[in-house]
Amino acid sequence: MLALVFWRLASFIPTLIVASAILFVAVNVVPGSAALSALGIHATPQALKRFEHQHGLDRPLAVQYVEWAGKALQGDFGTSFQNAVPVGPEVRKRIPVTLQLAGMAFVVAIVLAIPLGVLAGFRHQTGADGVVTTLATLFGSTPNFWLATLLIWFFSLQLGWLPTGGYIGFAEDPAGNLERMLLPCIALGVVSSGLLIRIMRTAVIEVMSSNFIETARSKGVGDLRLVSFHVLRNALIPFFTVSAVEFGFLVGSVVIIEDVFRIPGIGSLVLVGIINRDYPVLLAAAMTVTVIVLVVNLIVDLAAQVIDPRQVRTGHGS
Amino acid sequence: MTDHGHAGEGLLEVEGLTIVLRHRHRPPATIARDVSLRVNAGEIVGLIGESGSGKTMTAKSLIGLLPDRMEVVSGHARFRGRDLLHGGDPARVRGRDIALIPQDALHALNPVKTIGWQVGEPLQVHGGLRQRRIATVVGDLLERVHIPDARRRAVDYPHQFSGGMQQRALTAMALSMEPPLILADEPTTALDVTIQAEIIDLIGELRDATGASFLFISHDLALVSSFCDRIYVMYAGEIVESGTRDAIFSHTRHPYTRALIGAAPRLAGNPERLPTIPGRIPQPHEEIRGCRFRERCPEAGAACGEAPRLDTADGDHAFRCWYA
Repeated sequence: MLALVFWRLASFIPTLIVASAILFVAVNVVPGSAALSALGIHATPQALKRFEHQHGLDRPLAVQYVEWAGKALQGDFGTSFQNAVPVGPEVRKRIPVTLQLAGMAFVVAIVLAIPLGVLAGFRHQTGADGVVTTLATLFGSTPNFWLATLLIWFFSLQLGWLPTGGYIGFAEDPAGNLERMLLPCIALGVVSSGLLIRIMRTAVIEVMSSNFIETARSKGVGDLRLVSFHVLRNALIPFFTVSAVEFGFLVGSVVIIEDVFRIPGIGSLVLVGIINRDYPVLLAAAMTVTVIVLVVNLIVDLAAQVIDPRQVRTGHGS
Repeated sequence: MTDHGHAGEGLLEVEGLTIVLRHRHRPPATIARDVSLRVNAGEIVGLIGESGSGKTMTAKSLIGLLPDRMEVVSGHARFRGRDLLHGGDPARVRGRDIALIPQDALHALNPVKTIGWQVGEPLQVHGGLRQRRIATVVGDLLERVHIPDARRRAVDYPHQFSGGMQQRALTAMALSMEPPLILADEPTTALDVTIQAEIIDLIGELRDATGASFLFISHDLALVSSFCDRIYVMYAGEIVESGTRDAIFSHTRHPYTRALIGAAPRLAGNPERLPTIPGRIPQPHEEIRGCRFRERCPEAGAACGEAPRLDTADGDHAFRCWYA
């Protein structure tokens, strides 16, 4: 297990190099200019040139990349083109916000997916299966920003139960924090659950057709015990693997949702970075998202190992 | 070996059992037709047939484990005089009164649960025992089926067991509630010949020790001949011959049984090719007039256009053939 963690952590290094290189090229080839964004459209050509020289943007891309990576490794992500504020602390401050949002949304998705997927899979080809499958398609094909708008309209504007957005730290005011996080988490979680319900359903159907299910029945095991002791744990193994991938998509959706709900997380920073062509901000924020996804994938893989004894190498036996 | 009388009320009595497979677009296909069989207390009874003969489904119908679209449309099955097919929850019978030893040991075990947990599950389900007591019983059961170092291996997972040990564990599982009847569904098919012999010996040993009866399902007549008290031969959903081991082997009446005996590989003789039965077993949905074996039968005659009845004139030795 420890060796596995070590090798997985080691594999982060090439992943991060490739991801950062792609990002670096991407932000530089998209149309638009950092200098123009920072200085405004009335800036003189000389001023733009001076800005680009000042920030090293006139040098070859490879040189810029190596310099950026070298500093990033030392924890220096540079300063914002817009307001000269150091990027590192700004990103660090926002990490817990995004982690809370993505984490709670993921919990919403899983809490929806497991029971609904089990119900549909266990009652395969019945009315319940039909309802759940339809629901899953509906959830999965809903744009999360549209659902977010709908939720705000209904719960905030019509009923007035919840704030329309904003953010308060959990440490400052737990109730206020949860009030504001609820709708964005539902918007993200429900959309993510669409795929996860289907995955869980398929996994359950697959497990139900296994011979060991008949063995269990031949012992006199009833439905409830069958699902909780024989079906669930086996079905969770493929489910977890796919849910890690889905978490990646979910973190990607955070960009839009944070903007809709005016949440000061990494996602809104990414958006600001793109709009302003503020490369240091954009790179730091996007790389942070990459690291979060990698770490969550690692955790999920480890969890899958724990629930699948075949993957753990032990003493005797083969 | 103790003496196992054949007299008295049968432990399991099946009469005229007919199982069909329902189709959405076709008329239902008959999987088993008018099957009657009996298992007496302490007997090992063989149920023999090629794959597709309906032997496994006949056994599964007894404990309500037929696949979704299959159902029993007529006949009776009584266990100690109690109706198995109508009324009553089959889950209460399963594991406690009638246990199943499944085929394909690896896939028949839950990969994420320990062997000990799975062997002890019938005790959990049917209740009455404390957790610690269950662990002790499980250890005893695994010892009884000769798993080396049983108590320590109880915490192993199925993939850590060899095929033979998995099959032993499944046998221990079936024994856990000390059921009077155990349905053994080709328990040795996936195993090496030497391991096969060990499992067969084990079943005989357990019958002698516990007095349990076995309905042993197999496609291998030679294997069954070594230890079954009585044998039923099934072909295309029908019992074609039944009787004591001796009657089936020494006084074979039905051409199909004779062909099966002929097709069994023998070490002596060393023929160029093994004799086979020409043709193939008819599919359940095929409409057949007359004897179902006629197409493949070397002895078929004019009378075979009409379906033969099971001839029981010879007492315990019954057969379904006009010319036998």
